[in-house]
Amino acid sequence: MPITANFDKQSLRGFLQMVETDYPEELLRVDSLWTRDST
Amino acid sequence: MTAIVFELERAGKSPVVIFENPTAHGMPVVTNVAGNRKLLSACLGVEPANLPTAFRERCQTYIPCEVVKDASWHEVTIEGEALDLTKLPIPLQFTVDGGPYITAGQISARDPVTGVDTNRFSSTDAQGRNRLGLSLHSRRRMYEFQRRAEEQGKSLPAAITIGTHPLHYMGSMVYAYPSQRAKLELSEGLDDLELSRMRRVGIDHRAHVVQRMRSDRDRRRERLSLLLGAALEFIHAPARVEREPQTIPALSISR
Repeated sequence: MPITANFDKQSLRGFLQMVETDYPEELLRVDSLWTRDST
Repeated sequence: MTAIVFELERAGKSPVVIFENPTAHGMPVVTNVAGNRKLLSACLGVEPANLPTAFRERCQTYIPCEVVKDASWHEVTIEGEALDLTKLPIPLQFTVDGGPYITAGQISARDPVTGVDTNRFSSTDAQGRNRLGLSLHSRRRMYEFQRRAEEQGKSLPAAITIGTHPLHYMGSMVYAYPSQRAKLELSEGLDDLELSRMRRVGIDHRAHVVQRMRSDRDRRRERLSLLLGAALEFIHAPARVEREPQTIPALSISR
């Protein structure tokens, strides 16, 4: 199991840093959304 | 955004999803933060198979919260006419919803009698530029705090936080705890080394966005008010539900 102690456990940003570093397969980034209003 | 998360779930996946630029306002949205057992286990530093046991044991360890004078969310405060919730990327989850909902907001308030804090999840209904609403229909501790405040003829100060660490979520969802314990003390107990640094200002959490509000007692009607916080007031009367919007005074954001 990866060591997660170096990440800030007080904030969502710290959680996201942990995921991005230790579990990159569990993070999906969506650059832009297409909606019906997009056209 | 909701559709993407649903499709991922159908495919057997539950990643954290970051929508980098969902609206023209440039604020990203993060969702599915608490939807992944492996990640929640990692927050506690245990293997997924040990998550239930670790959670049960640690949430019975109560650690008083550190109270500080200032917090990062005070970096930006928007008040009065400048406050416009429509600039936040609050999604419309389902077409049958009455409007956009903040689904993972954590609402915090303090018992006007004992001074004990609590916090909980509450879907919050965004109504226009400065109104939010929520329902306390579960009738647990938050409901009782609001009832006690109303009994004293007072409003119940509250805050909604968006952007908290999933450990805060987990702590807020504990059902069995001594009445004199604050939920934040439970959250700290989930990881006593890291969360002992938790900061709090009054009833606020550490978070990236905090919406401060004050619930208003409706003196005009003699009935049970389930409202806490800004927004929409869900009032339960026999066989019907009414809504009354409430105004929030400020939006505080950390950079």
